[in-house]
Amino acid sequence: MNKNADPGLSEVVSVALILTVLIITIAMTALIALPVMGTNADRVHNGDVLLEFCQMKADMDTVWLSNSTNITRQAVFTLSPAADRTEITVFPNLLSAASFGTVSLSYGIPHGEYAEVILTYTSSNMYAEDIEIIYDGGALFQNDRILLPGSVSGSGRYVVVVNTAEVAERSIGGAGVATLEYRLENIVSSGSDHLCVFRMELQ
Amino acid sequence: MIHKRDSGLSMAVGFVMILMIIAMIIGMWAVIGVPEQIRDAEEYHAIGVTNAFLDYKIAVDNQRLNGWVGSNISMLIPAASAYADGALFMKEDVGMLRVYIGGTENSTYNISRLYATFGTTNTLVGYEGGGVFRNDYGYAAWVTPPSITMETAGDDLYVTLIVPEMQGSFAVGSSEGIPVDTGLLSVPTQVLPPTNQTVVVTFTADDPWDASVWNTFFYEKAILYQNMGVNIMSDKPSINTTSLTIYPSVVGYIYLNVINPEYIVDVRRY
Repeated sequence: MNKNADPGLSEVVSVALILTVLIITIAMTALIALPVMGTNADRVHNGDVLLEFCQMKADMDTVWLSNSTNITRQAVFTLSPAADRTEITVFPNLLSAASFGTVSLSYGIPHGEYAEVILTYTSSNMYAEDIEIIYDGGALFQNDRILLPGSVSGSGRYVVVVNTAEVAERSIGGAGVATLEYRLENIVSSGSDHLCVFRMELQ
Repeated sequence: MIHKRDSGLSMAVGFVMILMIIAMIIGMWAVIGVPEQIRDAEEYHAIGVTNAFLDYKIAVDNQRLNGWVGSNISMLIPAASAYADGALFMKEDVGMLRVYIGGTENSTYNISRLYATFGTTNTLVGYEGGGVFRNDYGYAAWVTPPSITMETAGDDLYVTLIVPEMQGSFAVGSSEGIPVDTGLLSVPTQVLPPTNQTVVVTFTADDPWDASVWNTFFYEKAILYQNMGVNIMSDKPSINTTSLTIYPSVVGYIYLNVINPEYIVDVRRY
């Protein structure tokens, strides 16, 4: 038997090896996995909020197409990936809390006492590229590129407007959700255009 | 006697076993967990696409109901999911609806189909003949069926059949949603003269699954209106053809109206 043998050496080496593996795993997670997962979460949310705006446009089109006046409906916009998660997870959602967004309601082209409504979503993503979605009087734009045009009939348009005396401009930011309540009041003619007058509230 | 003792052996074996357990957990997650997550996501996505087609049906129905002739609407069909690209197709003449009165062909209507596929393309979701269907692995079911309504008034029977005709032809693949424009061209209504003869509506499809799903529609309507006292029956004479036969009462007449709205459908290219 070697008198210089240290019976505790193997334990020390083993603990050092395990610690090394743990440190490498944590470092790789922080440097590679979290940015990849964060980018993916942001991009998925970019797509989801675009679908939420498309759904809102479809629902609003349905309201004026069916002339369903005085029925209040809601559209919900998720402002960040943190508000977007539906699956159950055992891990805290640390990476998605870094991104947030803003939804605003503002006036567009005026039509007398009415103004075309502009709903804008602007993201502030931590990892992925930012996105801007604009709903302008019935048309939907993604990063200044038209995605879904408004409805037309011959030379006339169907324009979604609000009464500026009744509907306030508003902006909501954060990482939660924003809710748009809207109700068709009536449809009036303005030249060749049809103004679909909505009452809206962003909250 | 020489004793070769290695006090570090058990630690080394333990360390290797821990690594094996970690590798096994990662392997099981990759082999079982990831496919399960993707399958769940695809299922959730298929429901989203189905809801988009239901919105589409509601929108085009509203165009017709409110007489918005000349108007167009644009909607996004979210064909692609987070995991797979999607494709949207518009096909005309996938089937033919024929109306026979007293055994003589009276009128014919082309049936078109707007549908989306995604992922493994084993699922089709689409709009056809005024209804929304979902086809999984060649077996289809209506999410909401086309429309045929009947009302009795004394001995007479009033039948209204709605057959939308969608014009357009395209096949578009995308890794995002696909915007679709739909314009209402006209809403012609064909009012057939009252008849005391048998009225037969047949549907002949290119695909057997399509005939099967229309047969389901005819069968369900036959059961519904038999319970309301109408003399009606459905049949499936071949794998590509199904029929609905409506008999007048002994002294009554059948009043048949066919509403045949015409739409033009196109995909937006941007």
